[in-house]
Amino acid sequence: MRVGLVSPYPWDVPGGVVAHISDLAEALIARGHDAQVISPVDDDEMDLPSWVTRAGRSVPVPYNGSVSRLLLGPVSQARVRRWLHDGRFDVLHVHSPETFSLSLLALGNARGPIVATFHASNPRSRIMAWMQTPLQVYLEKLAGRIAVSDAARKTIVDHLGGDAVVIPNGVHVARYAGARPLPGWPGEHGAVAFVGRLDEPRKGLAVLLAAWPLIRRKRPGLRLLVAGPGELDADVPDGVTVLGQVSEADKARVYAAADVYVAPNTGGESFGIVLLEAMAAGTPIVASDLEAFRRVLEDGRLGVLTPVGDPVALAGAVDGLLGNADRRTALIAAGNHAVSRYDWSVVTRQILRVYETAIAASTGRVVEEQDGVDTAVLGSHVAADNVVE
Amino acid sequence: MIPKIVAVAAILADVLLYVYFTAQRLDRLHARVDAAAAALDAQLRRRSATAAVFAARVPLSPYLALALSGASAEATVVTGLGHDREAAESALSRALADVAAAAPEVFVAATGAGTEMHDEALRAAFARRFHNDAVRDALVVRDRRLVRWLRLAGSAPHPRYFEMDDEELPSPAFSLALRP
Repeated sequence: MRVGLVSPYPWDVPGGVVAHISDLAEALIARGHDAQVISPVDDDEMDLPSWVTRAGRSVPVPYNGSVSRLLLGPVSQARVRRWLHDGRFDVLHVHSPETFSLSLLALGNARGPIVATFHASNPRSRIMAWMQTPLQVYLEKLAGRIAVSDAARKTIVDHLGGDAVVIPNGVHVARYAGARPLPGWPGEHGAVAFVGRLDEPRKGLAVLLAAWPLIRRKRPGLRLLVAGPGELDADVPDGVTVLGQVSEADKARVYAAADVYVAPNTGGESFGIVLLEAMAAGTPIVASDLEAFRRVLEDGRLGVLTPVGDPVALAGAVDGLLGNADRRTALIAAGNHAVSRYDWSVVTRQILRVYETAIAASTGRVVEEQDGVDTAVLGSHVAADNVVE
Repeated sequence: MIPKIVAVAAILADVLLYVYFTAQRLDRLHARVDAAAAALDAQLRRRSATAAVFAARVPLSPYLALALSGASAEATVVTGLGHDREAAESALSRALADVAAAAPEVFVAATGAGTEMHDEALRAAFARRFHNDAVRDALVVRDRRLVRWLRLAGSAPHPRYFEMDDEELPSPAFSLALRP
């Protein structure tokens, strides 16, 4: 099958959606399908896999306390149309088409079997409300819609109209299960780990750093391993090692390096891929009691849940789990079992069933829309979206 | 005087544009509903045919095998996407769910009839969801007041949702052998 995948966010800015598209493309190619990706790419020098096509650079727009990256312009439109023409795709798969990005541009310029995956759990904004009617006309072209979680599906039902099938994010279970700890970790006094953007408040590193002195008071030798892009705007406290951004392979080793993985997020999560990665790596979890996390952790059966944004409770939960080896062993076993249904082999299979269903409900393959939506029209509708992973 | 004529002409042009684009949009929406309905019908056929083979090939208790083959036979004879089809397909879904409850391992085997049955049931569930999405999108536009007054939907039949039970069956196995 020839599959065209469209990324709304720059390929060289790490994030959940881009990682999902990259993993999906690799999984499709591994199964003998021909998958191609078109994506914004900010760095002209960057080496790309042969199956990624550059759509141009994105334009950063500050919005709602975070930076959104938009990609609109005649150059991008011409590249998308050429890519559609040359690709001769059996199915087109756009990601987060509710963002005003390359995905929506591709949707406006294509016809045929098109499916979309909705990643966000809260795309609602004033601009979204104002844009709903024009957006609806584009979304009507979709033969099938996928939501990555129940929360993402609820957002579609409540705010965009329509419904979606739920297919979760995938994780390469074997890649994490086989990872060895980083050398020297966890060490004789044990370690905990955090993975996520350092300067994104919703990832909750500040909550963990506030809890850190309380945890260390009880466990003086304990170390904290922090991995993720961004700047830490505080001094690095005692016992904390900040690695910055790490490769995919090293990320797996970060999880493996810890006795407990901490997800202190305060919101904005529609899924919680970090939890699956930690489960796959065999690291027991302490996580905020967010709706999305509660679902992945099955109401606490697969990990310890603590109140959101409460450093004292978080410290207590981390200390408690570190002091209870039996509980950790039980959580590791339960997590290992539960994570297997999120393995990319399972998820890809379900996505292929969506492709087949969309193809059966459409005529012909994907072609360029004759009077494709002009970027000027789309540009006049420009709305910033939040980059939420 | 002239400005008034211009204003009237402008409003008229607006209305005509709206009518033109909405009629086009409805055309597309009706075509999508038709295609989704045809795909759903074909997929339900495949599901019942596969269920008949599955009932014969997989070792099941006589009661389950009989219930499943009976339900698939009944689903095979009903045509259209009306209430009787909904009832027959729901009965088939329930028969499959009974098999899943009594013998989940027949779906979990990595190859063979169980996987095929699982795939066909999953495609049917997706086809139904996508069909109902298409119906909903068409109804939203059809139910607009101006569309009804001007009869922009023309002679296209009123789209109808297809309701049936389609609980997910146990997933086929992923490769646990990959794990250490």
